[in-house]
Amino acid sequence: MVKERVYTPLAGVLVDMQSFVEEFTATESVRYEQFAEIWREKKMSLIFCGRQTERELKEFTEDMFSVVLQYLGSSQTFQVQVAGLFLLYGLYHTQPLKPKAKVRVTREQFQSILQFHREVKNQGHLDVDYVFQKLKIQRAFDFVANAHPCDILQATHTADDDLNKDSLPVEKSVVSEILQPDNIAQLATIHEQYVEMKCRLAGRDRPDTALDVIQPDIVQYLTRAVASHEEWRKTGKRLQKKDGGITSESEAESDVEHPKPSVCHGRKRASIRERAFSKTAEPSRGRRHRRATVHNGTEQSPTKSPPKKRGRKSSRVESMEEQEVLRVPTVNLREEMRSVILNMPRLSGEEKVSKRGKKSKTESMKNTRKKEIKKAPKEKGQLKEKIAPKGKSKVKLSKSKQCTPEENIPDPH
Amino acid sequence: MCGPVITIRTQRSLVVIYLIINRSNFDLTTNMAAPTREGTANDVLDVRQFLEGWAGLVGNSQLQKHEDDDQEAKIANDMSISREMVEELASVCSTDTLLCGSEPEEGNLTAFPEVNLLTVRCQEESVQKRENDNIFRTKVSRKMRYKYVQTLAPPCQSEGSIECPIKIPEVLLNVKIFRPLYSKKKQTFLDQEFQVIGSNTLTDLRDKYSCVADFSVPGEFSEDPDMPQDNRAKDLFKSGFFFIEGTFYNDMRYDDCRDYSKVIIDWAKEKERGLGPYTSAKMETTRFVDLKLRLGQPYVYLHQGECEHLVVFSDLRLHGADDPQDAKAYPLLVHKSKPRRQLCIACQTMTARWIVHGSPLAPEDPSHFCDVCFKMLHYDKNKKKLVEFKAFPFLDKTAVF
Repeated sequence: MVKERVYTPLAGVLVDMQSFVEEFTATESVRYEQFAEIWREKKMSLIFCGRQTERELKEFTEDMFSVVLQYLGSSQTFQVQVAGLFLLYGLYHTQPLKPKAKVRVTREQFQSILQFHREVKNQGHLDVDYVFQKLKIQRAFDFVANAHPCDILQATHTADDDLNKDSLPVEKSVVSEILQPDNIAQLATIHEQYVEMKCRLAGRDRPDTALDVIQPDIVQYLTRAVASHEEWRKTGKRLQKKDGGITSESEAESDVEHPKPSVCHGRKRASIRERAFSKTAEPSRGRRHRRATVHNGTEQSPTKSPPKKRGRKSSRVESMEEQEVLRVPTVNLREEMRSVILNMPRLSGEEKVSKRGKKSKTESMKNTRKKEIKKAPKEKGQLKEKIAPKGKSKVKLSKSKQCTPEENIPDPH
Repeated sequence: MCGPVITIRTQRSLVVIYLIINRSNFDLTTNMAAPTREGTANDVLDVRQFLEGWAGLVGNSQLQKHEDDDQEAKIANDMSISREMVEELASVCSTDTLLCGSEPEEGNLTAFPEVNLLTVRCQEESVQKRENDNIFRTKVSRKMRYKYVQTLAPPCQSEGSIECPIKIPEVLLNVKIFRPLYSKKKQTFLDQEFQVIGSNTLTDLRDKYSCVADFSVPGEFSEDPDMPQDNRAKDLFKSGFFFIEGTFYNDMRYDDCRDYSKVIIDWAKEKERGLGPYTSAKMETTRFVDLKLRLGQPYVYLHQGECEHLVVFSDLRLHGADDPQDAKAYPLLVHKSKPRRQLCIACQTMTARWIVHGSPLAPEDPSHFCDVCFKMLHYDKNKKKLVEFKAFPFLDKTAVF
């Protein structure tokens, strides 16, 4: 990922210069009057405004000259070169710096300028010639070895870095980087093969229900999630599936106008809750008997929407579920289990205890629910993965602890 | 402070040179980047070739000032047209045609006018961001190419004829000399920046550059603080060298000058080290026009046995009519840093003149004292030492011109 430059003095210069040159070439003339007219109309002399310090202004002026010198290169058309020369003349004279910053030319650049001058003389353009003579007499050029002074302390950033920046860069989404079309296509083929294999095992058209461990339409789910996320990033609207198709639907609040955070939060929370309690996670076919009941959050006030039995954690859980679009579909456990599981310490080899009460609770919960956990198929969601290995690892740790002192003894020998 | 012990001290300097030699993209800290964007050093430039290459393209007249000349006559001549034509062209292409009428006044250049230029809009955004975020503002300030524009006034040019006018065409080099490397954290501190012309010798630059180490007085003065301090290190230890592109330019002007580079050259000859063969030359006979150097590449200036400075050539260009025309003005000091003054630890007002080691009366070891506080604290009425300590004369960086 390219690191964004902090200091870009030439941001927007290329756009301005390019539009100027295009307008000038559109006139099909190389006369100075045309140039001056366009210059006055565009108010190009104001391009130096806004630089805060003398050193900033000097750097900007010199960099601008190096940009304009590119138009004077021998690979450009005659008209573009004339435009470049006039621009140089204009910028050199209207710069506010005192003493004036000079145009730094390297030998190659100056050779192409001289060649251009010879052509101008041959074609008899007196005003272009005069402009050139004027620049020469005023000693506007500085004959250098390197386009910019070289300093040990910083990489000399050339004009090229900032030239193509005409607006702030668009933030790239990590999501879209991970889930690229090839990856999704691969996933789709793998999924098809998997389903096919299961069907063959079952010996029928549909795979055995005992082997239902993932969402049947996982690829569509993922693509829909990614598309919805992208759409939200760009416009603040969420894509919603309507009768099988995908249409965009504007919501109560959109992020496009960037309202103030304090105003946003309350509305955001309300909308999140609304969404959370209007939908429910689609249960897998194996867990249909444990379908979650829906509570209509819109009718109740935001603070009172979850039922007392569940407690606030579960509501948070549900809202989290609905919010995180890209999560792997969760298991439909009972609500207390869910909250307990979420509060359990992470699997890291050691047991972190945030609160004592919680730990004992979780431990007791683990012991009582162990059987139920083990019954359920293994790959149902991250939460389960946390539980099952945890029970086993506990045993493993103790064993390994016992083993290590014994194992260490023979090693030195 | 004892004199330079070359065998031991040069070991440390070898480290510096080793680092510099072996890394063409010089990066001692994460802050420093190589001279070019891609992380590689610039090409080697032959200064004489540069000068000769330009001489053909640019006539001498362009490098000289012709204030009293009739500009229009000159232009008429160059363009082979009549003077009236030139006057007409002058009116058509005058600089007034470039004014749009809404230019800001002299002092108001930082304001943002209402204009349809993307450049100005982007700058406005950046300035807004700087005003809102201090960290961003510091980052931006650090990234700017120029830390200063013109800190020292150019030498006033006398009205009369100049004694030693510069022979045109002449080449001008910008040389930056840094403070000696002391801390691991910040490795480069610009000390002084000079402009030198091609006909200057390396010794001219060396003489013009004043380092504290040169003016310090070696010796222990606790027994007799009033002993005259007239033995400057500069006069005692006169040797030094510049190390530029594999060649050591030693200062051998005086009889008692030693060749510091011999130890290093012999050390580098061992094949396992993989360091190229180095040569040595004389500083006093080498002119800047004879050098082959890279722009932006750090080189070394060593003197007083262990005082190492980084030297960077930042710019190479033709000497123009707007630069001082007197050859005696060069090397010209263009920028001088303003270091913090070392204050006396007792009064905190006067600049320190003494550095005291091992004194039980002083709060720290070592401590800096001004003359008055030092004598008042450590000596009695008869100018006898009260306690055991060692005192060395201390010269502050700001005291050196």
